[in-house]
Amino acid sequence: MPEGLLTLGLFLSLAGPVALRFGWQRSRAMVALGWLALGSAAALLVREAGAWGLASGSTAAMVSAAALLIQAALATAPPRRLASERASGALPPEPIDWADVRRRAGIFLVVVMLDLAASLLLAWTAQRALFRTGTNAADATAFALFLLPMLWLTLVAWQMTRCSLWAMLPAPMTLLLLGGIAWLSA
Amino acid sequence: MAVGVSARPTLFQRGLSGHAAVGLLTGALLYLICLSGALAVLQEHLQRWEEPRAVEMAAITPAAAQRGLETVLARQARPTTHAFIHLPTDGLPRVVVTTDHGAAYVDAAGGYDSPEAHRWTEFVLFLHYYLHLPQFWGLLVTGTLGVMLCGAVATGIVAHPRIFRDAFRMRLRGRPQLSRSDLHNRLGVWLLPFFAALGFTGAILGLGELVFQAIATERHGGKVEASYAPLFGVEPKANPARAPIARADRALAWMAAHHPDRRVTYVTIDEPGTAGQQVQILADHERRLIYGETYLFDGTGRYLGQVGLSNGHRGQQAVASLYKLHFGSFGGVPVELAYLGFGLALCAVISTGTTLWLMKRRARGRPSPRLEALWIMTVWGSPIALALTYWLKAALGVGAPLAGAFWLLLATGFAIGLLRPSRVQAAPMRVALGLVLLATGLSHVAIYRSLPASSIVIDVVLMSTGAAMAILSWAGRFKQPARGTA
Repeated sequence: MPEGLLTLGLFLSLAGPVALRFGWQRSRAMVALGWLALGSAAALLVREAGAWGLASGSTAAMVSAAALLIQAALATAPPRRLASERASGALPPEPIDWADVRRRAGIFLVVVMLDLAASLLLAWTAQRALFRTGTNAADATAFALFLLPMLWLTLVAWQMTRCSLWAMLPAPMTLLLLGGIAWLSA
Repeated sequence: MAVGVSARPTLFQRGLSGHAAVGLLTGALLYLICLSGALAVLQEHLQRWEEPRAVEMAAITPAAAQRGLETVLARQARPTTHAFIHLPTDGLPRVVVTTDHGAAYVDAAGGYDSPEAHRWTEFVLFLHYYLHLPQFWGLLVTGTLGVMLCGAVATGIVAHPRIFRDAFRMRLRGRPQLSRSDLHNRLGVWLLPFFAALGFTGAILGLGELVFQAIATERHGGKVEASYAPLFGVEPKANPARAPIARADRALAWMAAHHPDRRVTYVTIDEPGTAGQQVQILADHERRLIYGETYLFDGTGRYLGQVGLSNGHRGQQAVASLYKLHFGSFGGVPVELAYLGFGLALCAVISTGTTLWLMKRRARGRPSPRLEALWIMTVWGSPIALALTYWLKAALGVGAPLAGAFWLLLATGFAIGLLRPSRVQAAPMRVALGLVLLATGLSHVAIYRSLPASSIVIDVVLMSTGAAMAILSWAGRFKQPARGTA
């Protein structure tokens, strides 16, 4: 009975975070049950209603979690005495570090300009290769539409955990190389 | 070097540093996009709220819709490349006929009612879509911000070493830095699927134009419309010979006969009044993420086929599913309210992220009073400016320069923040915002006495939120012991 399964999926989506909350720092079994409920809900909803079901279940789970956070905020008593936040006296102003300014400008150029160019080149050449090897235009275009931001955000996430500007460069350069090879070969 | 101290930062430290860098790079613009996006979820309700006197109906007959189309085209008496009929929906139970030369409401009999004039709602939407920049560049910027939001989500996970240990810790009444840290981290973790989906779909919608341009250059001689065709359907072959207006009524009757379970939301007529005209009917499919299926008809109302958004290539279905997921229009009012709440939560996450960075700087003895003032102005000044632009529209009508006024207000606020940072404090700004919201709700009710239910709810929320914010801020409940706390 699809309607009943859909309701069950939404109920499990709501119940999952509640079980996690009750098991949090108390019962590992309850935490496992919470994750099981969320996993089962996702599987059930995808089976019954596809992407719509998954989106609805995710929304329900987040509403449930948000309600639990509100409850936690209300239930947490304020400390008896608010310790003052550690506040240092103001230090003398530092001179402008132009090398640091140049480094930040360089990071901006790499993360925004170079990454966009590299991601666009690879996304475009990938869809071109797909199209030329027989994939229909709709699927090839959609592939590029999804691939471009996916490549870019992967680059950003990786680069933002690097220590230096130079360490950020190999990733977009690799994409540019791959895009160039795909362009020349297809 | 001290024992146990490594010169090389850990992945967590690098993640935190990268997370802060992304946040600082994009914070203010991302905040504006998210604030206007949270409002954009309610776009149909906002349009009703802005123009509560337009005629409403639950449904319209095909004959009346056709009459409405012909009436508006006859009144305008100018050729148009497209004409659109918005049919009554749950969110906006009105019929609107739009052409290249303007839009008008029509009544249930198809008679002309009044011009559509929801300029403020459009202003909010264009702020979200383009930041009021030219369309291509605006989409590029908002798409880039979508990628950066996803980047911030990814680095935020890396930078969060106690993601499970603190899963439900929410000490909002603790020390200011701790309370903001809890708010930022908890909302960031539990609403992560929403933030990621929002950022990713926004990135695709914004950056898509680059992909379409590249494909158009590659194989369509630069014609961008041709690169849309595999996904959204082909534009009809132009034939400028004059012809009677396309029979949208017959197309609607065909839909009612063959797909009675699908709610028709939109009718598009390409090249109306020419021999090459075509009718497109957009129908909503229950429990699907796609924004609808497009059914095609010729000018006489003869069915030609469907584009395939519901059952065509996977690429078509995937792309057609982006819009409802992004705007939260896939589950009626409950999902819209959830999206509104999540959108405001995202604003809080962005706000507290930069605030935490500023607070840490101050704690280290490196306060940035100008940056603090600018941030306070962004967080509290931009909603005030949004509300004031509504007043401007109410006072001056559709001709009011809303975008110019909004950016001028914000620029003035920023100038005050730069020149007199000590004058900009968060608590008085909150009081001001509360009073503006309260006054907006009160004046709206006073001017338009008869209102649809959704508009009454909006006014009640504005008044109660505004009053609560003003009173609590005034009473010092949100009192900040230190500056730099937006």
